[in-house]
Amino acid sequence: MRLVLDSNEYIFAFGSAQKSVCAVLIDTILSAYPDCSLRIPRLIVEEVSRHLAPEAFKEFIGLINSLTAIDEDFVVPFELGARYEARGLKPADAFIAAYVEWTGSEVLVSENRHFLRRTFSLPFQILNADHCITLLKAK
Amino acid sequence: MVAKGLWKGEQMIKPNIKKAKEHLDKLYKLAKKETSPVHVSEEEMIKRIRKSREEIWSKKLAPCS
Repeated sequence: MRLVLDSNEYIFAFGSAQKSVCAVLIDTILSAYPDCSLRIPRLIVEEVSRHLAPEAFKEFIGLINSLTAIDEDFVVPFELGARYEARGLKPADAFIAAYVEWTGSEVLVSENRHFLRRTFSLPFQILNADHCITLLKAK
Repeated sequence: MVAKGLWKGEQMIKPNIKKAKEHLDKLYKLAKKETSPVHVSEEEMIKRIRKSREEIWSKKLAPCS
């Protein structure tokens, strides 16, 4: 299973405002590798950098580079993002949704209610950390 | 489908779980030290993250406009 974790998952796992379920999710994903894998765009990396201390961010980059490659934002087709924007998502959220679709990921994990309340049909699921852990454990 | 690695151009990136776990341990140790003395609610934190997302995105788009 291919997953994209929104920046809030990493920030809640490793930042000063902690939410333990987000750390449990990352542990669960690591235990499930390579049956499940992560993808991450540059935008999310930049967001995480704003909310972690420099030393923690260095370790975060080490973690990401040990698991996957960072995709540059420009690789995602503009039209794909525009389609999500037309469906009511803010431009940056639309980009994230487009990225998830472009990578062929099955799940976007986010604690952001703006994402979670989206009910229109999508080619991927949007779950919070708690629900994603349940899904991964059921597999 | 089993994800054994990721193709980046012509290069295959293979995950190194042992190394990832080392970084993860260090991150958790740092996170313990970093716990803010001022409690920030989840809602407030998400608001801050959303704000920074919009700022980063508008900076990225600025050269295109």
